[in-house]
Amino acid sequence: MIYLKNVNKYYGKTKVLDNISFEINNKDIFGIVGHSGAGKSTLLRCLNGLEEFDDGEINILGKNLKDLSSKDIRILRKDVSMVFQYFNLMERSNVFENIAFPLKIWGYDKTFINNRVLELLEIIELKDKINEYPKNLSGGQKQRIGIARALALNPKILLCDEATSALDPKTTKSILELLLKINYDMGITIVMVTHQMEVVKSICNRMLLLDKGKVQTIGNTDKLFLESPNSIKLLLGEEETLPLSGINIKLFFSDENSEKSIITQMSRTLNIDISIVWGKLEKFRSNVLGSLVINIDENDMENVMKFLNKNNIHCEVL
Amino acid sequence: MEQYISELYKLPTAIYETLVMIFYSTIGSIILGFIPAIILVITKEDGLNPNKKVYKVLDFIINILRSLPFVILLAALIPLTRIVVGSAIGTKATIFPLIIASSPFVARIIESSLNEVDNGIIEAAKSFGASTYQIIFKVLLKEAIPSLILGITLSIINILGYSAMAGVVGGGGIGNLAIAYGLQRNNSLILIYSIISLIIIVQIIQTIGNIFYKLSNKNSRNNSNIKKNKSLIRNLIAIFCIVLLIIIAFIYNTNNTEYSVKTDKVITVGATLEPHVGILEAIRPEIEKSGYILKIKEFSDYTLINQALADGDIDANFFQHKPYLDQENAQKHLNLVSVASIHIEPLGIYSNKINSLNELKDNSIVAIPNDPSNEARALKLLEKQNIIKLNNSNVPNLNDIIKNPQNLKFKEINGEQLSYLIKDVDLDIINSNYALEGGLNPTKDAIVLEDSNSPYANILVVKNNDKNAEFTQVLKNALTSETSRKYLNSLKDKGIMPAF
Repeated sequence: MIYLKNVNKYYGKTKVLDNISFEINNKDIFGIVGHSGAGKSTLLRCLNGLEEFDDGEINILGKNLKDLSSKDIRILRKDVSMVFQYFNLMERSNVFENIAFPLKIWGYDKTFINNRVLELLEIIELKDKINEYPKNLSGGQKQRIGIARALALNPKILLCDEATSALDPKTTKSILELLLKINYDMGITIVMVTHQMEVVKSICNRMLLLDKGKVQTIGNTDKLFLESPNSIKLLLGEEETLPLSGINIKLFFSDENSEKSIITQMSRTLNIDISIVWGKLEKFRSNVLGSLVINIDENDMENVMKFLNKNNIHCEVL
Repeated sequence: MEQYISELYKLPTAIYETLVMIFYSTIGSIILGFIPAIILVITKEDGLNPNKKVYKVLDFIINILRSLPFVILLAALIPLTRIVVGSAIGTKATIFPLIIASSPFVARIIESSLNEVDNGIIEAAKSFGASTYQIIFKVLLKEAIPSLILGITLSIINILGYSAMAGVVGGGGIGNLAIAYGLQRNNSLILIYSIISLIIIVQIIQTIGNIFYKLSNKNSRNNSNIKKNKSLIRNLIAIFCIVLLIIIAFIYNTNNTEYSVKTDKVITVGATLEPHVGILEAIRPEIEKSGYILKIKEFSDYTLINQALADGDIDANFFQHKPYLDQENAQKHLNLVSVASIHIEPLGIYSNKINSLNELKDNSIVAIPNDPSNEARALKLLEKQNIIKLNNSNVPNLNDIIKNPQNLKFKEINGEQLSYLIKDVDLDIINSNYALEGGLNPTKDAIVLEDSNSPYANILVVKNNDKNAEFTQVLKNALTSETSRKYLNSLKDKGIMPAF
């Protein structure tokens, strides 16, 4: 369906895609994950010719992109459509006009367009919003319109660029369900770029890990998560910088103890050195809770654990 | 005051002229500005079809056109205007340079409106296979409409500002009325009404622009109902005002002969306002008696009137004196001739200390105007009285005095100040208008006045070929008629006298 071989791309002197080769099969939901700046979106845009690449080969639906004229690429885009992070709907056009836009571009007749748009609205379950303007829609609704628009020309491949990153978790879930349905019912291959691990876990059957323009890992999602969670965690997670020597302990701060100066107290009481290697504040409902990873000498471990238990600090040795 | 009010009839015509200028110039400059704007948007660095060279060249040209002052462009474009419009003077002839001057501005406005459109929307259109053409017309322009409306409103008001310069080529309009009648003729009533009209027009244009902006933007913005009602009433009032203004302007305009009958027996005379247009108005009946129709083209600025005559845009002109004509003929290679001296605003010698030049003592102090042409005129007047002797320079200055037997001390002074310094000097040589301003009466107070033979009399000028034409005779006879003399004599208190 899609295969890339030794693809390189430069922005000036910086290599943004470094010798990329992989394959996406028919009816895959293929996840491309990585840090921001890893080259995910650039890679995705190479697939429909929005970005050019310097060397290597990209083959889509049996066509070699390098061989296509700009007109051929426009025609190819009928089969390879795209969904965007910030929806990119036309503000001055209503829902109907937005969905009908690709159809109008390709000169379909009016009755066909009418029927097709209604059909798509049925799929995305927004029939009652046909005359609304994007300003009056929620983020989730806008993304549904974006998806309907991308489906208008009956594409074989759907490229999703961080399609759920601007949405809250609940809406994200419903959008993912919609994509799953599209993949299952219509047999459309989906390529998803995302930095959200949950997204990959919940719908991608295969995934690729991109770091600094290079393919790090590629394979079946379930297998990858089971076999080597660390390579994924290391790339996407926070524990990246944990020191290898000594003992790392993760402390969890709850409401009551987050205001006490535990670390300095412990340092003074036990007369030991503590280095703080990682910290994070997270919001759960209305509470702000934190976790902190400290690194201590192996010999001090027993005393530290005693101290923490005495002070009722929940902790975990990593 | 009565005279002030009587001139107010010019206002509707001026409003009409201004509206005509704005209307066509706006349409023209949008059409002309649209194309470069689109090219700029397409060829910019991250545009649909980047092309550095095209972008830079176009960008440069637009910047150059935008930095030219409108008056200079107006003059520079005259030959082109004549080819395009058929004439280089009048309201229509102003529209062409207005379009040229404002289209770079409009191009920038359109460019920036189009650039405001979210890049994501363009990318989305691309990703569905839209062509560059489709992206421009179905996405960019459509999405930019509200911003384009505001920009065009801004452009129209900008054009209104430019149109104030129309007087230079006899284009009329409110701005010209305010400058030529309000400022130069000191008619405060005209000035106030002109300015009020301009304010009203600007308000109306802006209000209409805002209405369209709101209409175009209602879908992409939440609006409340309360606001709607209020603005509806305001909008209705604004529309009513502009309709009224247009109707009034049209009604008055249909009474204006300027745009009506066209016959061979029309004499078009270019003139500056004070007092030339007045004199021409006064002899209009004389000319009509001879079966001709007199058309007066008012110019607020005299730099282009001789050129207009040489180019055949007008049949004759009446605004200058002989030395100026000679200079123009020489510098611009024109072949224009004077056929009659009509009036003079004589330079006079005044003094608080002596009653005649015979009493002039040695070593006296003489004040003369400091601008080159009036200084020459003053020195020539003294020479004529045998007080000094000059070499034969055309425009003599103090260095050209070859004999000064009484060892007079000359002081060169700004013309306007001369009359106020009369106590400080022995002889004071002053232009009539400034003498009057300083409370002196040229006919009574001057020791010596320039006479009607002075080369500084205002002359009627035609092309050399038309020297003996019938219309020249008609015009000459009318301007040197008893009617004309009577009118000129009535201007005595302005220091104006007949020179025939």
